[in-house]
Amino acid sequence: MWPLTDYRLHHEGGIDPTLLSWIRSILDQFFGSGLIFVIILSLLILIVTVGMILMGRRARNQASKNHSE
Amino acid sequence: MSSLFKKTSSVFYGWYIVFGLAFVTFLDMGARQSFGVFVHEWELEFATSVSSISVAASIGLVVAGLAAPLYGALIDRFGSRVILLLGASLTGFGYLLLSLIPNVFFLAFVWGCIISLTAGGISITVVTVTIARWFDKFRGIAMSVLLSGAALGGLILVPFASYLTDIVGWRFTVIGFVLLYGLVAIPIIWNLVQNSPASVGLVPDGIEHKDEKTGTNAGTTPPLEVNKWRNALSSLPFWQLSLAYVVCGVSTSIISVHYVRWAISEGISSTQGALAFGVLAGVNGSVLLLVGWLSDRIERRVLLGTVYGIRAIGFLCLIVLPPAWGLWAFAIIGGGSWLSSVPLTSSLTADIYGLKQVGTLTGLTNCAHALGGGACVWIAGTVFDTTGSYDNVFLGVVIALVVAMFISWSVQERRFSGRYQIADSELTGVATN
Repeated sequence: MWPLTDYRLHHEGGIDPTLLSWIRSILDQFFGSGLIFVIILSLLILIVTVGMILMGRRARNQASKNHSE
Repeated sequence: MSSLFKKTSSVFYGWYIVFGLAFVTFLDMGARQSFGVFVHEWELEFATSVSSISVAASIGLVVAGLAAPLYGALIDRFGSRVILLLGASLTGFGYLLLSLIPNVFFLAFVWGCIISLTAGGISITVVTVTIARWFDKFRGIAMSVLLSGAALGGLILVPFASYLTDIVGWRFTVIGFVLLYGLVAIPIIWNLVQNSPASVGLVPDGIEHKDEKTGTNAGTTPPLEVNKWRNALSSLPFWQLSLAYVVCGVSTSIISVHYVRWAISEGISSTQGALAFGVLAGVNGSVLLLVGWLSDRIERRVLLGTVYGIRAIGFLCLIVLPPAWGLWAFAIIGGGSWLSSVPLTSSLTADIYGLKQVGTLTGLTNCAHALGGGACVWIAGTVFDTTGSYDNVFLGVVIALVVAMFISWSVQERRFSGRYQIADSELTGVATN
């Protein structure tokens, strides 16, 4: 079972624990604390989502308008 | 027959779908890869072992692999929009259940069965097939942009999940994933994704190939286009692409698991090994875009074979170079070939067999990729335990990759791909005129 465990933990775990702690140490230096990183990333995700939806809808409406013309 | 090219809009609507689905894939892969963050928490809370948690992981691995062709068939039948919406909704619901589990048995059921099954609805199989229907001329770069979201998901969202777990605990972190599916993935799919260009009055790539005589859009039917997926099984390109893709699964899975362990066995620190793996992931993202761009300009089989050849050189570096050199040589050479085989294989499948059954066929190759990779990871671990060295494993992978390289190069793309049927019809038109 161990090789499969490792397989799964690397694929589902994605990042090796050592690499994860290295990334965290860089983020800590940059953002000061994990909480700020979490808040900034959450806001970025929401802004990108809203922007993408608005731009996409406008482009689709334009495409439909061009097609009907 | 002659044709003319006409641009229909400044930015083709398909690109909005590409970026939307890349973002959804980024979130989905990030959420799934955060599994590892929770393992220690589950060990403590459920008073269980990593080995028991791995049962959930292993069940999930098999279920996700087997679900790929099923979802492929569902897209072919119902279109990708409804499957993506259902997949995102049910996966979000699965994470909600995960936040409530009382013990490791429920973990095995919820993660291994429910989430692994439902997440197939927004898997690489489904999103690549969606994009294959929107693009023809720029299919390679579109798929590469899409997959770059998958490459970034783990690197950004796993630290996010790790921090959030420290702050609010694993249950609320999982509820955070539910919010990501509910407030981000589902709205993006609902608002942006359409099954095909025709559904909004467009054509693939946004470029019309108009026949001057009839005024209709010129067809690009490949000679091997299938109406039933079983028909593809009796043709050579399907087996060439699938066999090479199994080797791809074997090589990437083995290195994902054993790279850091190999580094430690060669006297390199785990920190350096893990950092090299991080470099590999970073190189992967940038080369992926380059390969996608190139694949729209030269024969995809040539690039695919070259990708396998380069990867073979990377594995050879692990055997012949001093470990410290081999580690970084592989990170750069192997990283350059990591995910690049995915858009090339998916694009070639669509180019050769057309779009009617591309979901099922892509699902079948992805299933072979996942199951073959999983099995060989286990074999590689057993060989290492028996011999105390990875040399034999890596040598076997080099040989398999060289075989995959020649198999890929031998695909008769110019004869079977729809891309070259367009070119041929245009050439015929020029000659006639």
